[in-house]
Amino acid sequence: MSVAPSAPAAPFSATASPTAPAAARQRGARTDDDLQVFLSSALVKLGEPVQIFIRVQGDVKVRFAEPPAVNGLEFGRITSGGTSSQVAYDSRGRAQISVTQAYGLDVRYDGAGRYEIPPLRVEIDGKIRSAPSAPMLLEVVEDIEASQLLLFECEPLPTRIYEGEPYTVDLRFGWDERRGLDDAELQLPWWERQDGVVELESTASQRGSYEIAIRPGRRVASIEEVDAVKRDGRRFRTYRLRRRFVATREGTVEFGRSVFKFTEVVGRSSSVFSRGKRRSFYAALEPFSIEVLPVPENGRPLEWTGAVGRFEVSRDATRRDVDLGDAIEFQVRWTGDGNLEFFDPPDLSRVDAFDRFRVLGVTDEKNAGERVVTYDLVPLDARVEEIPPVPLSVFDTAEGRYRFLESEPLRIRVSALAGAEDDPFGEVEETPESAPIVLRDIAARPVTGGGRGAGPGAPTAVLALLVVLVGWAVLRTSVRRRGDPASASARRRRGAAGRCAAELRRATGPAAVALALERFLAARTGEIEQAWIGRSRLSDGPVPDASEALEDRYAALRRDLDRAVFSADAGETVDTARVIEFARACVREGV
Amino acid sequence: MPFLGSLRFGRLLAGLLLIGFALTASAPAAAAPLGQAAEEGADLGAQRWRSGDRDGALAAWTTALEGGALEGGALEAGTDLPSAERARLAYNLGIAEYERGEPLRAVAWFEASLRAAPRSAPTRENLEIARAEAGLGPRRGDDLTATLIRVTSSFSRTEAEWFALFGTLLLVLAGLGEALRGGAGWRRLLLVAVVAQLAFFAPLARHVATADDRPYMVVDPDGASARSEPDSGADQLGTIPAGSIVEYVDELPGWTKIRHEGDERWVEAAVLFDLRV
Repeated sequence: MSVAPSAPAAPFSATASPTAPAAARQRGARTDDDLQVFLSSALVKLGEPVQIFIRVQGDVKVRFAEPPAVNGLEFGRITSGGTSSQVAYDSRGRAQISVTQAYGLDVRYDGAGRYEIPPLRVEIDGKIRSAPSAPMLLEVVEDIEASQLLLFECEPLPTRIYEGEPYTVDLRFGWDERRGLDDAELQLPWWERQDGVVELESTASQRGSYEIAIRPGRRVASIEEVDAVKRDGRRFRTYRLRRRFVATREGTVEFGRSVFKFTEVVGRSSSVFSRGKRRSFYAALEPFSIEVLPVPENGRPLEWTGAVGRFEVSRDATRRDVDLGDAIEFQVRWTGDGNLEFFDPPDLSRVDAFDRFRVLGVTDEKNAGERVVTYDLVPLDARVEEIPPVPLSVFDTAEGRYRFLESEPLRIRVSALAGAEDDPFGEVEETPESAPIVLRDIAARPVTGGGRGAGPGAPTAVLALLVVLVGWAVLRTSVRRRGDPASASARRRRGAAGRCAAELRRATGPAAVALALERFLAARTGEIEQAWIGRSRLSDGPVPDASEALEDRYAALRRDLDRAVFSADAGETVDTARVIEFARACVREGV
Repeated sequence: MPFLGSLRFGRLLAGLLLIGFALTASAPAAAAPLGQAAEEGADLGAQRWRSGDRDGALAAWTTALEGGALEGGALEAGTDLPSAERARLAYNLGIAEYERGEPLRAVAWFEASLRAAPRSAPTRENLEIARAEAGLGPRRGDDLTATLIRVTSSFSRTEAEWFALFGTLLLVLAGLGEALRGGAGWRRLLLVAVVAQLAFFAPLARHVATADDRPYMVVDPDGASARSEPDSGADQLGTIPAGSIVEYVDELPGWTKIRHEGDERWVEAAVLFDLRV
């Protein structure tokens, strides 16, 4: 089933009702044809809307004075209903155009009774007029039948709340289920019109949602059907409009008269264009108010972040056995009647108890009826055994004082990784446990670290440097006079003895030994090796100043080699050691 | 022959160097008696210190240090006592001053000890502790200049001299090779050896350059009042912070003229500590 919004109530019609002037004579007084002022109804049921209709003939300028004050009545703003034109033709066929301006003025009453409304003052083209000529009489009566057919209740509300403390408005309305619904609406003059009041998110309906029109205005609100209510043997089909609000500043929150209007069809229409005869019933709630008190300054902790009301807290963690450095998703859930949406969750990085944790991130979820804050905590120490209680400073409205609401501590286990150090972020300030810094003990031995004894002296070092440099220059010059020591011939000469020894080790006969000797002498003297074939004396070559002993050794060696080479006796040979010795002697003598 | 002559010349050069080293190495034998007296004084002070006689230890060490002075009583300090002994006495005196609640004087003694034994780790540690206690910052920074100074000053004078001579030996080897063998390789090696002499001689050069320095430290916690003349009524030109090391310029009874940051000023002698021990 659905509760459909009703049609707009009594719209201003440019042409108005044909019977309006006649009825106006009963509900008011007609002062003149160009200005008509009359009530929409002189007798209404309690809750039934009432308006004053104003019609001005002609295209004139119209201004209205303040409505007169009437005890028990309140007047709304004058609203324009538009302008209508009528064209008429006289007997000669000439057209006559008449213009009508329509206005409306809402009338709100306190309760049942008789009210007398003085004439209204209207300025038309600069002329002040009053209409109607006599006061308008309005009688509001209890809707006796509605009290039996309708159900309209409100759950008790507190008469006094604190600023920031949420409260719930729970309206229940319904009708005798044997009645057929044609239309229903709620007239809630306070709806969305209370200054300093914010509507909070409500929990979703459990049994499906419907919509109902809210007057004044053209708004709709979600409602939910609840279990039928039995009263005096009647069974009422019941709906609930439930909203949570919070007053954001001190003062008074007024709830004007709330009316539930129920309309049923009492007669069928024979026309497809008509809905038939209808009848409306009105059930009303008396006005009431709530006093909003300020949250006291006295005793307010520095940590208080705006939490007001009654809260409950729970905590949980996705993982409770972690390695050092791993993050723990630590979830704190606040529920209750407090202003869950309007406080800042505790900043754990500023809570001393969490100095061995690092807060990597915070996720804040505001759901209907709960506030869930997830902290990404990283233990900084493997010795941490629990997540400490999370404190929230709350102003407890029931006790009228501030108090700290703390979650239960949560045991965890933090395992240090092998080889890892505690304090992965290097943030924990370790309590100094080591002994105070003291001087090293006195020295019982001479202090090392600077060398012992005396050095050669700076002059010696400098002199040595100079001598080396000069000596190098002299030596270099002397050596270069003989030629470049790095030249190919010089290198060959220096390596002659070594190569000779190598060749002698490989020599297989006297000829090879003789060849090695000749190559050696050639390298040392700068001649070709063939020049030394058959040369019996060193002095025959470019070695004029060889010693006599060396000459004799060479002559004997040369003779023995020639004999072995040219002898028919294949077994004759020369000891290679003699050749090596001779080569060394040559080197020693500078050959 | 030229070749034989060059060989003989090289051998002669090396022989001369070795003889020079041997002669200079045997020079400090004359200081031995003073070193023995200082060692006995140091040991006596240590015994008193262990027995709890702190003042007695202080007196023994002070006397031992002064016993290293030349005959005649003028404290031409730091010339004859073995450097290791001087370093020990200054080090122990620093500890004694620290225990007496004189961290600034302790800093001065440790600085003096480091001048004799620049690489003594305990002395450096104690110096930093004493500096912290005296409200001074770390001894030296980590910039390039400070690092160079730290490296070059980590050699004692004796070590610097031997180090320079060792560098010369390397130059001898490279020079002989280049002169006798020639070639690009030996030439490069000789060039490297010549350049390396800068590093080998740098510590010695620093010692030579600072040999005549007479560093003093301001040991008054309130700093030293720098005046234009050696008179307490003279214009005060500023205050030299405690722990500053200044250079001695001149002195009059009760007053010392020092150079600090390029300016010469007079300060009361009582607030200065001679770092040469």
